[in-house]
Amino acid sequence: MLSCKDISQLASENFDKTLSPMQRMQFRMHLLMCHNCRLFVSQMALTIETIATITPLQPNDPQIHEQATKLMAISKTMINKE
Amino acid sequence: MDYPDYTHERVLIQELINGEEAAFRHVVKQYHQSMLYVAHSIVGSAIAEEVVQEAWVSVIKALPGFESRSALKTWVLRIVSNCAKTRLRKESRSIAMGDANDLEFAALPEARFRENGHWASAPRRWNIASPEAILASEELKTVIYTAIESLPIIQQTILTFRDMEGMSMDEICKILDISESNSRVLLHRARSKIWQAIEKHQDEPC
Repeated sequence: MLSCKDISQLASENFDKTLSPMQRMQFRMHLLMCHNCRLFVSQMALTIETIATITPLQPNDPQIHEQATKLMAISKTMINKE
Repeated sequence: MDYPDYTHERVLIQELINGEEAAFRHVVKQYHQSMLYVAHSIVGSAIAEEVVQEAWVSVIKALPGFESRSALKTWVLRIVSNCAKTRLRKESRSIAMGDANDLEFAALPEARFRENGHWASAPRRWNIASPEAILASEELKTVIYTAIESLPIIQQTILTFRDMEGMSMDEICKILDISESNSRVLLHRARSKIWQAIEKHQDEPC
């Protein structure tokens, strides 16, 4: 029998569908009886879905320009060596 | 600044080999931060930038021989990982994975649960119901970004690669050289911290 604490630890794996069939069954049984865990699991799903909509951090334009210029210079040196 | 959209990786690779500026800008924009995440996770912050620069040189050298067996980005990140691990070996250090080996540590504070495992402090209802609603609030958006930035770097890396970029866990584990069980624990800890940050904001908005 899973406890609420167990559910809080397994919520990600439930979302990612990586629980074993036995764990999945126990997880569902617990949710049927526990509204706090139903709430937690739905909020965790919402959290993960929100993170998925965030654009990952990227360098800014001047940083991109500086690094790209550096790489082109390295690339040219290599071509010239050949 | 102009960033062409490369739908075909072969075109991008050929333009990189030809030394086209737009292609270099594209890969720097799309890959550089991820490269830093990998280097930082493996060697720590002090020499992460140096390792990434070494990796870029290796990438440019090896690019004409790239056989497209994986996505270009995956290949690039593996090169960063190899450069970082070589650097560790040279310095006789081990991988600085922070809390990666501490699997017993719970994702939520112990105080949230009673001894019998029931909630002592149960989750509170939120007045938001969709990612769009969450991100429509500038305040909440800042709360989430701050929570992500304050994660240990290894958690930040796994969260970014898995949840924002959709990389497979298998690929993440290979790149970071950690086990699948470790990476799942770290991903859950990261997600739980973001959940806690949203909950805290719902309880006491700024």
